[in-house]
Amino acid sequence: MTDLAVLLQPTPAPNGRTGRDDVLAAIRGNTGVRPPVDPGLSGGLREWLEDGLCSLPLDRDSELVVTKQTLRGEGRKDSESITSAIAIGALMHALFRQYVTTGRIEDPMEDGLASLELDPRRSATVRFVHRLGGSALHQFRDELETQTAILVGRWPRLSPGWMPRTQERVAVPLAGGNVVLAGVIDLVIGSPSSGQATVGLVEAKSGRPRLEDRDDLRFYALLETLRSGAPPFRVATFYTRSGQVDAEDVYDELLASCVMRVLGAIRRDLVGHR
Amino acid sequence: MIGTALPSMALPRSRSLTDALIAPADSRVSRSELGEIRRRLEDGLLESAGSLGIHQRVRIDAYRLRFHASEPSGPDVFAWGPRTARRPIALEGVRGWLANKRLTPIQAVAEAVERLTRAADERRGAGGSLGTWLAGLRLGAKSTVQAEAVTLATQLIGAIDWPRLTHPFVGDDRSISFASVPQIVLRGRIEVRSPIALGSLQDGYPSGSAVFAVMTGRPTSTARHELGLAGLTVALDPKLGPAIRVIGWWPQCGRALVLPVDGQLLETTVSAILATLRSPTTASTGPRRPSGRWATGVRNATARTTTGEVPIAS
Repeated sequence: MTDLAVLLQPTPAPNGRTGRDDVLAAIRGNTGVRPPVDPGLSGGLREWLEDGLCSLPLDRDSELVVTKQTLRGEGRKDSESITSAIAIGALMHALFRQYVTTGRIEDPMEDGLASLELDPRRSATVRFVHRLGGSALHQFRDELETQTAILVGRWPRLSPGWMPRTQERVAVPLAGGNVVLAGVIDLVIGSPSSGQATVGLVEAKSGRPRLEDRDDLRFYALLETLRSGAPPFRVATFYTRSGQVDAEDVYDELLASCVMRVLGAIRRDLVGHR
Repeated sequence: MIGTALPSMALPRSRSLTDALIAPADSRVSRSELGEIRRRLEDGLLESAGSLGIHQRVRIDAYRLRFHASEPSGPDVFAWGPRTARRPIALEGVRGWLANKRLTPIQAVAEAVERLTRAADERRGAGGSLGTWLAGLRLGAKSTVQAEAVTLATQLIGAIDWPRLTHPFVGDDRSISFASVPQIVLRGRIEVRSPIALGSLQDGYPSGSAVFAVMTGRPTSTARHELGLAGLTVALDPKLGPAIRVIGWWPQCGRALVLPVDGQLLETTVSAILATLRSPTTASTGPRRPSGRWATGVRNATARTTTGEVPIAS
């Protein structure tokens, strides 16, 4: 057995439960409560957004794509801004997806790079990793293997009935297509709603927990509600650096505050471009 | 966009989509009207073929219709990747799931990848085939492709009330060409084709067809033509009964559009096809996809294999 294989064994939690049980419990929340879907909620949120957009000076000849980065006031990262942390994040996303889908990871660096090399948009990240050498490469590999070990040790085997699917793209057009709310959700679980909130959203993060992480998920909760007509019952962030989960139930108020945030970000974006 | 948009609030979505898909036929294109549309199409194709090189073959598909309307430059040369491979693998996975509903989407897709890879091995690697490409991937890359397919397969499985469909055909893409213009092929992209009862509209056919197409992104200005092309390839296929309706579903935004296959839809689709053929970019490019069984990929849920291309007598 290699050193890595030893590392990949699940670590028992102090209370006797495995770390996986804790993660699973955090993602599931209170399993006895799956709130009924208010049939008017999705339409109401959409109308609120549409009304808000009506009062904004949108450019009718172009499309404004609103992502979680827009809401944070960040621009897109270019190839010059690749750092070790960003590269670790990209590789861990690929490995998280691989682990959820296949249940195995053989060599974190090899598997992660093989995944990223398929995507031309990731070429800068791949180049960055290939250029690492000496102690920088050693540290990078060390961090990647540690986070992978935490992922494998803590991430639970999901019930087949949860129908896990990864990297689900959501794009909700508003204002006749002039504004598009867009996102890619790392993991969606649960079958489509039949009247109760049955879907959960999970994001995997390789960095330290930040306040904005919850905002990202609330934005995705709004996207899912607008897309499917039903809000998710819960959203969660899984941190591959620590194996911890930050999760919260989704309430109407949470979605309403997100609508305000989206409208505020669009207003700010439009003003910034004038 | 003309058509009926399904209300997004109705839950479960699969019920309203399936209701729309299998609703009894209330109208159909008459034989004489279809004959007129067919003649106009054939004449237009013949005219366009005159400007093609002797060995040039052109395929008109949804991608070409969309690209023609939106991009000034030619489309990229086709290459297998997670985005291009996910659909054939997902459809193979859904067929496997229909045959054995105890499989989860993840398991069904894993088996599909295994089957495709094995089939490529047995045929000693047909150049450019999906199976050959998959067989050459490393674990991390193959997992990404598999994950993409799982997501699409799960969406399709959850989109429809499958027990309510009678003998659905999954991944029933249709390619048709006229005997007089064999170098131009029309390809309709069809995720699910469901036979539906014709009632008083039978006119010698045992059943009609309703088509379900999973669309990418969000509805665009060419969506109607893209869906119309799927309807047209079914309507012109002499082995099938009349095409009754096409449903386009955009999982990324949750929208659905129901289009009855009527004379107007087919006429506007023919116009879009001919306009695409007349565009300089189409005339200068050949077929995008590699040849091979999985490239044409026409199989169905009940394991009846149809041919990849249906020639239509002139």
